[in-house]
Amino acid sequence: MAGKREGKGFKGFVFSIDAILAVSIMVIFIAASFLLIAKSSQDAYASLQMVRLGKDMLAVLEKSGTFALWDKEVLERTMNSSLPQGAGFHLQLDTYKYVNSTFALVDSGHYGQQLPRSTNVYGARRDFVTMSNGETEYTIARLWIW
Amino acid sequence: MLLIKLFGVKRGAAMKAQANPVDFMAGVFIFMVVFAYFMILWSIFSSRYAERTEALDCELSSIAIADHLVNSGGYPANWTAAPLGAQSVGFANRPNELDWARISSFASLPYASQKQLLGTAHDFLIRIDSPDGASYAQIGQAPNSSARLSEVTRLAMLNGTIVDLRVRIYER
Repeated sequence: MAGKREGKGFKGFVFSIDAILAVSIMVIFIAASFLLIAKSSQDAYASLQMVRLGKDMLAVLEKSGTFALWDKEVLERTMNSSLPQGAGFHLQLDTYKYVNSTFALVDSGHYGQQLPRSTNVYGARRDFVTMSNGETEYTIARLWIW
Repeated sequence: MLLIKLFGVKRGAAMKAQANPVDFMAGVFIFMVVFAYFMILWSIFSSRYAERTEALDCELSSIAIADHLVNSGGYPANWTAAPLGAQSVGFANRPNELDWARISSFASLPYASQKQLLGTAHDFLIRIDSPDGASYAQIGQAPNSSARLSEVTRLAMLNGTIVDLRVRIYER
């Protein structure tokens, strides 16, 4: 048996290895070229722009005093007119008061549409402090846009 | 048997470990097909890659310029006193709060100086509009319809109102 394996049955071994190597290299080349072509058509900076737009949106809403109004209609109208056409958003505002050495949630508001499940969503967050009736309020604004 | 008849090679010891011309021709043919396929793909990809690189360069420039204009006041801080001596320009006195004096100082400069201060070799157009379309400022040169361009929109405040700052970078 051993003689047979080392003799007749082993003659094509070098050619088999040669063929396997050639096919492997060819598959790697083809896969690499398809991968590079697919990557070249992606927009590398789209996510960066969306994140910056989200941060800008929260900053201008705070600076323009829109958050302070706590008016759902004004907030949604401002966001719809400022974001690009076709963009969706969901905004969550959580307001806390510092009472008895702890932060207590006193208000939570949700605005805009429900978060989608099947598309890329980009998030931004902004924390700010306001005064209401002589009391300090801490608000966390979380924005998701898509 | 066919090979033996065609090439007159005898079966047995004379055939062992000998590469015959059909093997060689088949190998060369397959290699040439794969090589030609690869060269065609490479040619397509390299031209597409060059175009993509130029587009990304434009996009990156527009993102960087828009970011700088919206978040920075420029250098030196009082560059509006002598705009031609500015080392970099920015429109903001605080992040996302634009300053009209800075915008008008930059708008008063010649186009070549504006390009130099923005640090771009590409042509540009900066527009500041309200979300409902009213125009506050337009600086630079408008691209023609065939230009490859990249546009970035940022949101900021100007005189207490929300405005869009649009930076278009393009190649003629």
